[in-house]
Order: sequence, then structure tokens, then C-alpha cells
Amino acid sequence: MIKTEKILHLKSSRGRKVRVVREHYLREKIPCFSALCQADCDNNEGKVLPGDLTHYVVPDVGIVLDFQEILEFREIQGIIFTQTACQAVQHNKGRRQYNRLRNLLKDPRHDCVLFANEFQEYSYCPREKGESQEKWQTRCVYSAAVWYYNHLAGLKDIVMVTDDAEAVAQYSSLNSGVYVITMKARARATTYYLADRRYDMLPEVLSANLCSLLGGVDRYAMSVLWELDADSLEVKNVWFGRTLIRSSYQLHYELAQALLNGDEAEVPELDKLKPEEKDERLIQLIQALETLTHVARHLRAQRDRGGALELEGVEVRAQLDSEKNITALVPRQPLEVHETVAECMIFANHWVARKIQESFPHQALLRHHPPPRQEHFSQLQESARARGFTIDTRSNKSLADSLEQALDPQDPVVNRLLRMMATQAMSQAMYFSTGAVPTEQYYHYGLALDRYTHFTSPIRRYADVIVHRLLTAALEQDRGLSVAVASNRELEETSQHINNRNRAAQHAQKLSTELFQCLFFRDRDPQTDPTCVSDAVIYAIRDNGLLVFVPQYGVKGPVYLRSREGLVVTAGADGSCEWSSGTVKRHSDHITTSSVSGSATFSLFQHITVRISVQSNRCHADSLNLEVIRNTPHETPDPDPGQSQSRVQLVQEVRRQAEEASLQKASLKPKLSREERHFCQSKQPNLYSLLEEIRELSLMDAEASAKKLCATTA
Amino acid sequence: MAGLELLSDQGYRLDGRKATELRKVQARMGVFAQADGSAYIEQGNTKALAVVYGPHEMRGARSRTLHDRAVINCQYSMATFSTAERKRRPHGDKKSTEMSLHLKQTFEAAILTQLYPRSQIDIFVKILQSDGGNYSVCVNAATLAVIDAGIPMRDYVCACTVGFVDETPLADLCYTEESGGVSSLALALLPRGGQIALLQMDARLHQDHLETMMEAAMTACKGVSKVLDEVVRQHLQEASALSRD
Repeated sequence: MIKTEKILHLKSSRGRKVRVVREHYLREKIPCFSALCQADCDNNEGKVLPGDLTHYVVPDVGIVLDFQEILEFREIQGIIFTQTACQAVQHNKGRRQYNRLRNLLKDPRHDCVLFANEFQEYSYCPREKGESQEKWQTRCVYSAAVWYYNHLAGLKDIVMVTDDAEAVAQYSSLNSGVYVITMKARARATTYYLADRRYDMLPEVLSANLCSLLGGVDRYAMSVLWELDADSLEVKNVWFGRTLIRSSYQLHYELAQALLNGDEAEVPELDKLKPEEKDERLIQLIQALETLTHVARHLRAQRDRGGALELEGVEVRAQLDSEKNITALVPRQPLEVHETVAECMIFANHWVARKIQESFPHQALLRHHPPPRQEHFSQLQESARARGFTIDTRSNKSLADSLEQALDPQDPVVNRLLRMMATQAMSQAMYFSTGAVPTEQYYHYGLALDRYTHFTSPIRRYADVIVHRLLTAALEQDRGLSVAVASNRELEETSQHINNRNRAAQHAQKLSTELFQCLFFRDRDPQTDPTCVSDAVIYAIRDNGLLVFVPQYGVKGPVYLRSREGLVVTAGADGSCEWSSGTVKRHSDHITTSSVSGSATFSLFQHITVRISVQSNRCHADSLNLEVIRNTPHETPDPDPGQSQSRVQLVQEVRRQAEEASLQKASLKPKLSREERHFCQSKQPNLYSLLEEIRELSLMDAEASAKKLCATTA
Repeated sequence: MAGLELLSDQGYRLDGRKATELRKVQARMGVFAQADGSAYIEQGNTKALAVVYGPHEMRGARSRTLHDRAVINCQYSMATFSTAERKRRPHGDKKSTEMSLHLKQTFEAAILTQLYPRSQIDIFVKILQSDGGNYSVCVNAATLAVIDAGIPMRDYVCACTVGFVDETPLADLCYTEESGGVSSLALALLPRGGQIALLQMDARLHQDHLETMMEAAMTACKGVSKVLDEVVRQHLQEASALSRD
């Protein structure tokens, strides 16, 4: 035994600072409690960690303090609690939590042990001068993990879970056989999707591999199974539970849609089969898809009868080339297959919500969408009136019906714009705890469902993780086992936290999209580049200008008709615009400018041509500047019979251009710095794109997509 | 500091010792040149200095001379800097007097006073740093000092403080453990014969536990006696080596 000293700085009972020196005895023979022990530790008393696990987990102090409930799951095996962490729990969290931890350690059903790292000669780290408490604790835990690895002679991987990002960086670089990862799930509460990158809620090893569905691989899942009547499609029976799933096909949306349309499509899983078998399997697959689509259509019709809203979001994706430069801003293309999957997810969410609310009437996490305030609908109603449509906003059904009818046969953009305005008027959908809100307020306005929650994406939403736990608890309760769930107060706090983080995420996503738009236009010369000139639709009138929407890029912005110097825009005979001094007169649905050289009238929903350029600003971020150059619609080089058609062509055109550009640049490829190589986008197809597609889907449960507008109002 | 775990589930105390382990003992004899016998001992972080004068003629009150044996005069004091808060009154307070009395009783049992009638032996012990187990450390220090002075004793006098936590006796308590509300018992033992020179406790203890505590204390004291023996032999070797040269 070696005697060392521990120096603490404490406050005496009278409040004076006291420097306390205590003895600290270190020894070599501390039992490791592992079945793989090579050095004859005295492991006979108490629990022993089995040797057949893939790895042992050593959680850091912060993790044990905050995530003790997660570590209590029986599924997590092979946890080594360090003495440092346990003492921190005792000091910071109080007796009750510490006793819970002690009981956990004594419980033979859990595979966790306590390692007295502070008394082990080689894993003890004396505190260094000026080192903070957290850093020192992390260092102690790390050296305990290293000792463990060396003690087991490298037979077992040791993974240290910490929440200190610096520590991860610092210790990962040391080659000691210990893997250091972080666990920021709850703090993040959601996955952030920015235009070109994604900040995951859960670490890579979970979200990218273990938790996502890949074709032909077994995965654990929590499933909802419905038995539907073959004719009426009524729900006869519903079953919830844990399942093992192996997906036979991994189809991307375009492929599924092509199969449904009856087009020729290559299904990669069927490539290697003989033609007869291939055809048979193909028929089965198409039949399955058709049945699914049929069910989804029925479900959608039911919801429509209840007043479900279909709102328009302006989704643009930045198309990036191999070097992360933007080649295009491509608006999303909704296919029917997207709707099918969305409908199924909504159905699942709805039934899970019903189940957890029945089982835990006061402690369930649901999601509601309060009805919007009538005052917010004023812009929508005025704009619609300009075209002769009336929008009845008294209920969601009436709103949905009015929007359905507000169609201009010559200009499909009008309906789209009206839907965008309706989206703006919506209130926020939020998570809540059922005990905190009266039953009347559970209703989800946008989806027309009386109960709703989020269940389908536990990888990227923390609320789904909570709902999974509630569902598991509900099932256990049905079997007669006693369960412990979070109280109403805790759940309410959690849901508020998640709501805040979601708002922050949406804000960040919006800003990211705006940034990418600016970057796209920054490198193009507005005077000469044809992509900078585009068709725009007026959707609102202001005192000195217009608000327009550019469908090609999904950009919204102001167009000034009167400049600061008092010059106004007037249109010549051919529609081209110029600036001269004059006046502007605003009416309810149109705006007129008049000057010596002529006049111009701009009405709501009129198409004009704008030039898009980037406006630099010293104090704020760059923004897009829209300038009207013609009073008439802009003809794109390729004639467009239908909008979706032109989009497909645009995408193909863009892709071709990107390929050419990358081929050109291949010879004179600039040397990427180490950071750029490290962070550049991984090759297609990759999990990111797959998850992107899934995200688009599940965020199409109306209210979420509605809130992702990048709206700039004058 | 509420909630300090004096004995963890795995059997470790606050400072990493097991329940029966003693603190680290380091001692030196003959540290004070002008006294007849002196010793310095460190038991963990408790440090004590013992000084012995005698046997010499009775000083002070002649009337207290005993005709057939020596009078032992003990004084126990703590340095003002020995505790966490500076002590105002190092001498003469009740605790010191009581401790002095206990020391006197202990050594009267151990020293062969019959060999020195009408004389006086002075033992002064000073605690330089107090970290629990003051009495035991004093006794151990005084033993070494008496041996250094060449005064014959029946046996080493070894002492140890023992506490009782969670059905387990803890040997050699430190200050945090003593102040943690543990029932502590101090035992002074003559190890070879197993004779108890002094047993002191002023806490509450169930009588069923007394046996276990005393057993534990005796084992601990025997451990201490081995260490002290080692120290004495070491010192003797050094002294003889020096005198040879």
C-alpha cells in the first residue's frame, strides 16, 4: 500500500475557507469483476461481468449524473461504473439517487460493476494545479478505462462514453485501445438538418447503422400491426410490440413510384435472379406496393373528411458537386409514394398516441396543433379575394375545402401561393404532457386527428424516444408488471425543452437554406448569367413594392418599386422596366407606378421577370436582391408543359452541368486543405441521402413542413 | 459534509484502507538530545512528540514522594497549530487533564516503578498535528520514549482506537471517521500477555458489539506492537553501529 495525500479546499461551518489534507492509500490488488480477468483478481464475491459481450462501457461522470435512467436499462450490459462517478452522484444528486445507483450495482439482473479506480495504484490521477473538477473527473475515468483495457490484456474493447467534446478529441488521439464517444442525445433533443450537413442527435454508431433499416439485415424494431377488413379497410385489431424486421427491398422513392406507374425499373435486389423468378418477385412487389397505396389513399380520404390540411412548404435542396460547391437549388418533387409513406406514419403515430394516452392518462407525451387565430388569416383572405376566391377559415375542413376550390386553371402557382399563406397563419404544433392540458386541447388541427404523437423516428427526435419508452411501459402494464414512468411535471419540462430545441433547429435550418441561396447566386454574374433571371409571382402588395415568390428556386423576397432616391419603376411597351422619378399608388390588390416615361401596374398573382443578385451588407449576412426587369412572365429556355416535368428536366440539366464542371475541374483540381477533405460530403448513395428522404417524408406531416418556410417579408 | 460513506459496499473506507488496516506508522527515537528519552511518531497524519525525563529526584511537592516506587508524572498537550482551527488554550483544559491522567494510569501499569523508589519520572507528550486517534498515538510515542530513556517496562504499551460502522469494526480511526458520529473505543494493551492497560469509550454501543470491538482492537494493537518493535530494533542497530565506529 502506498500512502499519498489528497488536498481539498472546503468551507468550514463558519464559512471560512479551509485547506484540508487527507490521507489516500493506493493499492494494486483491486478486483476488476470481469470474467476475462487474466491476473487472478479476487472476483469471487458479487457480480462478475460476462466475457461474451462485444465491449464494456465506462460512462463518464456527466453521463452517470444525467443519464442514470438510461444506464439502468437491462439491455445495456457490461457497464463499469467508476468510483469517481459514484462519488459525484453522492455529492451532487443526493441520497436518493445514490441509493438507486447502489441498488443497481447490487442487483444481479444488471450487468454492471463498480470499480474502485481511486484506490488503484495505476489508475489514480492526482488533481493537477488549476484543473477543473470536471476535467479531472474525466481524466480519472479515462485512466480507469485504460487500466481496465491493459488489465484484460486487450481482450475486450473498452468504450468510454463522455459528454465533454474536448475530452473526446483529446483522448481519441491517444492510442490506448479505449474508444471515446459522446452522448448528447437529450441535450440536442433533435437532429439538425442544414442544407449541406447534418448534426445528429445520436452518435454515428447508433443512427447510421444499428438503428436504421438496411435491406436484408435484421434489425430490432418497435412495431404497430393493424388488421384491416379486406373490403371496408376498417381497423379490426391493433397490436403493439417488439419485433425483428428484415427488409426484403430497399427502394428509393423514385424507384417505387416508377414501379407503381408501370415503368421499367431496375430493382437491385432482383438483379441476380433468373428471369422467371425475377418476374414473379417483381409482380409480388408491385402488388404489395399497390395494396399499400390503396390503403394509404383510403386513410387520406378519411382524414380529408375530417378536415386535414395540405399545406405547401417551400422546400429547396442545395445540389452539391463533388467538391461541395453548389450547382443548383432544386425544389422538392412530391410523388404519390411520398404521400403513401407519410400517411402510414401518421396512422402509426395516431394509434400509438391513443395507446399511451389510454394507459397513462396523465403522463403521456402527445403532440397537438392548436387552431390558428382568425386574425392571422387576413392576408390570405385578402389575396384570395383579389382573384375572386373566398376562403372559409372557420374550421380546418372548411379551410381545406376552400383551398381545394381556389384553383386558377391557367396558373397553378396561385393555389400554391394561397396554401403558403395559409401555412404562415398556422400556429405552432407542440409537444405536451397529457396531465398538463385539458382533453379538449389534444386536437391536432393540421392533421385532423384527436390524438397524435411522434413515434416513427427515434433516431432523430428525442420525443420519439420518450414515446417508445411509454409504449414499452404500457405494454408491460398490460401484462401486469408494475412500471415507473416520468411524472407529469417532468414530462412537461421535457416537452418544453424539446419544443425550444425544435424551434432553434428550425431557425438554424432556415438560416442555412438562406445562406446556401446566397452562395448559389454569389458566384454568378447577375447581368450575364441566364440562371439569375427568373420568373416570379407576386403574392403580396406593400406600400413601396411587392413581395414575390420565385418558383424555380423556391425563393421569396421583396421587390422594390420605389427606390430610396425616389425613382420608380415603369414599364415600356415591350414590358422592360426602367427607373425614373415618379410616384407610386397602392390599391388593395394592385399597385401602380406613374412617371414621365410611362406607368406600370402590378397586380396580385401576376408573373414578372426578376433578376436575382446578392446584396452584401457589412452588418448583416448577405441577402438576395430581387430586381424587376420585365413586366411580363419569363420564358424559360425549355418550354414547360407541366411544372413537374420542367423540374425533372431542371434536375437532369443541373446534374449534367455538374458532371461537366467536375470533369473540367478534374485536371485543375485545387488542393483541398485537410479540413475540407475531412468534412467533404461522402459519395452517393449514402446513408445521409437515405435519411434525407425519410426525413422529407416524416416532416410532411403537415405542420412540420409548414414551419420550414424561408419567408422574408418586407 | 453529510452523507460521507465511512465504509463502502466493497469494503473500502474513505481513505482507501480496508476495515482492519492501520495507517502508515513512521517513528524515530532519540530525536531530542537534551532529554533522557524522546521519540517522534507519525501515525497517518497524526504526529506526536514524546519526551521523558527521569528517573530523577522528586521535584515540586516533596510530600508526594512514594517510599517504595517512582511517581510518574504525565503531561499531555496539543500544539496550537495542531488542529484545523487554531487552539486558544493549549494547556490546562479539561480534555488535556483527562488525557494526562489516562496516560499516567497506563504507564503506571507498564513501567517497573518498584525499581526506582522515591523518584519521579516525567513524560511529556505533545501533539503536533491532530488527525484522529490522539490518545493512541500519544501512548505509542511515550512507549518509544520510555524505551529510549532506558527505563524498564513489562512490555510495549500499544494503543489503538477502534470504531464501529455497519456491523464492522474499523481499526485506527482518522479524524473524519471519528467526527462522523462513530462509536469509538480506545484500548491500550500489553501485547505479549494480552493484558489491557486501559480501555476507554464515551460513546454509545450495544453490548453485543463490545466483544467484537475489543477483539478488533487487540488485533490492531498487536499490529502496532510489531511496528514499534521494528523501530526499536532499527534504532538499536543504528546506535550500535555509530558507537562502534
